[in-house]
Amino acid sequence: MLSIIDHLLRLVSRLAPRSVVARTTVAIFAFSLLLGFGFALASANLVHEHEYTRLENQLEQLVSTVESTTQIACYLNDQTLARQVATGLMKTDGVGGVRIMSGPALLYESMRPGMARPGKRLAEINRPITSPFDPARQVGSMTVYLSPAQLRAHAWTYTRFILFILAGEVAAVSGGVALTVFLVVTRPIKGISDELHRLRQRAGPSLRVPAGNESDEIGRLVADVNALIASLNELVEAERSLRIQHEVFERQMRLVLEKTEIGICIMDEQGVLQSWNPALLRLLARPSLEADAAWTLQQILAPHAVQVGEMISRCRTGAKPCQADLELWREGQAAVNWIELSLNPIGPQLLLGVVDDVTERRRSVAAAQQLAMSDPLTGLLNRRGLEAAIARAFGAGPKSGTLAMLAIDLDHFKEVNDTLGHEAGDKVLHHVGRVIAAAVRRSDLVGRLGGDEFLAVLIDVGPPEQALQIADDIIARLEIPLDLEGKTVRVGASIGIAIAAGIEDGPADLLRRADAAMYASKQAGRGRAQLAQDSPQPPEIRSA
Amino acid sequence: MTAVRCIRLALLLLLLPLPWLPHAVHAEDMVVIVNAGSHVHSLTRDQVIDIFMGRFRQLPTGATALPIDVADPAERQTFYQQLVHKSLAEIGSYWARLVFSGQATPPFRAPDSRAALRLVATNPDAIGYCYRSAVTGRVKVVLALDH
Repeated sequence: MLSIIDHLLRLVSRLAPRSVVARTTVAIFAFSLLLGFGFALASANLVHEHEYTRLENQLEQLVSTVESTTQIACYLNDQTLARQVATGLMKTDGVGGVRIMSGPALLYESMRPGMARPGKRLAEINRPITSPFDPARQVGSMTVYLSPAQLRAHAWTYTRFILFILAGEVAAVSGGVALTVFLVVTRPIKGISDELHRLRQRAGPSLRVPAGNESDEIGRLVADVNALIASLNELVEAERSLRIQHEVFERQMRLVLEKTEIGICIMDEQGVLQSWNPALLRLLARPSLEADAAWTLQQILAPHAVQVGEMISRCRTGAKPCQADLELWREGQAAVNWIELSLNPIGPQLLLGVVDDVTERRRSVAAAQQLAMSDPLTGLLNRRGLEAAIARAFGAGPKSGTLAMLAIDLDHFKEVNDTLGHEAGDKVLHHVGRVIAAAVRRSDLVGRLGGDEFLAVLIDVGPPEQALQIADDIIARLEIPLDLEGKTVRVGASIGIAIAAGIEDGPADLLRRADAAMYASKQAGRGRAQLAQDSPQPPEIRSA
Repeated sequence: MTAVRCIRLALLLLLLPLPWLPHAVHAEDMVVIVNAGSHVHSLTRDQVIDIFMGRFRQLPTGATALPIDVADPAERQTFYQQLVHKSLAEIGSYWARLVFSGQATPPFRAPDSRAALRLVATNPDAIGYCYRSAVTGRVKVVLALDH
């Protein structure tokens, strides 16, 4: 039964238009008609039975009506009277035949065609007939046969009437139900649906509750939909403002990127540039890059291609930022430029490169270092500068020749200081510095250890004689009297020379030996140069 | 009180008991009588009914009976009332239905009770009725009715 209804509904929905109203109405009508038809069918049998009983009762009453006449007919054995009674009864619908008996004998019988056969007789009303003057005395009997065909016709008429009534009722009820459903449920929902449909185009605030549905499920539905729309609108608003914020932020960021002095680029893991800002090109002295060509950071920083490649792979594998300072030589520019390149992994297989000009910083650091390493009085290296330079020279290792250290100590400088003052002393020291610097090569190191102690380191000096010769040259140049604001000043120098025998001789050891030789030469009478004892001895020692 | 009103009251008093007169006067039992010389000695009520209502007209002796009615409505009314408990109107209606069939005829009607008695006294097959008090020696009571 359910499947039939389901099938029917599907059929109806296929036939019916796509409107909820029409579909609901058609479905209700179809269902009502089906139900009414079923009920009518079921009631037909009942109606037939009922009609049979009704007819029987009716005939029973009829028989009672003619009973007194029949009594007389039977009493008097009057056939004429009996015929009158029978004829009267036969005129009634549903009567198939009448038989009146007077005592045991047949008085009168009347049968409709087809009623003669006993099998065709449906039912009968049998009534004993008593004397009209004595109810205790039976004088005959009357039998009335019901006609099945007529009964059926009667019942059918009655059934038809009932069917007609039922059909009318079903139509009226289903119409009422359809109208009610339409008014109470379908129309409000259709209204909501239509309004919702229109709502999509305009950004209206809310749906109206259909009149009369304020406190039922439809009203609740509308309220919920309104709440939903409101929250959606809020979301859209929030989204819009976020997007505006984002756009503003992006514009600011783009402006920053365009205007900043820091070069910024994004590259993949092979160093192929994805995007860059103008500052990058400016810093790397590139007028422009063809956008369609795949430029790599290695290509742009060609002199450092290997180092940059290593940095990229280190950054990629370690997934952590790394940075390095790189030197740049610009064409037609004497000064060296420094840039700081830092790489940061961002996102999947992408690296952020930041390039900053650190030339100024580099220069100031170099200047500070220079200041820390030099002797302000003479412009030569101070003790720290010397130590650093010597360490560097030792680190590089003797290339072709040997390394000679000359410990130079002025003779009679204390007297100059005492007699002419510190200012004159300073001038003398300045002079001595220039003399020593002039006596050695540019690549050699010259510095003042403090007071009147100077140190010269001769790099790649060759045989010890050459060192001795240079020392003698220095002594000779210093012995030339110096004219100092009208006063003649004489100073001399004692020099100790230590030659580095090999790598195992450290700078400290060399200095100690040079110092020792210098003291020895002072002992020996000043104004002379002397090789340290364990230095490789020259074939002969010459005295100054 | 005017004379007219006196007369009206007297008339009213005279008229009032009239419907009760037959009962009041003739509340006497009826008897069914035959000729004194008849061989019939007694009849059952059913036999009398059948003879008077036209069903059978034969006496137990085999002779055809001749039922005799009395024209006087009061006496006739008493008889039928006591015999079949029916009024004269009902009896009239009964006979009226049989007018066209002709199967049965109502009893012969004697002009008065005296004539009826004379008919019974002179006719051996006659059968009639009278008040018990009116029975003479020339007739024989075959059934006594009581109310």
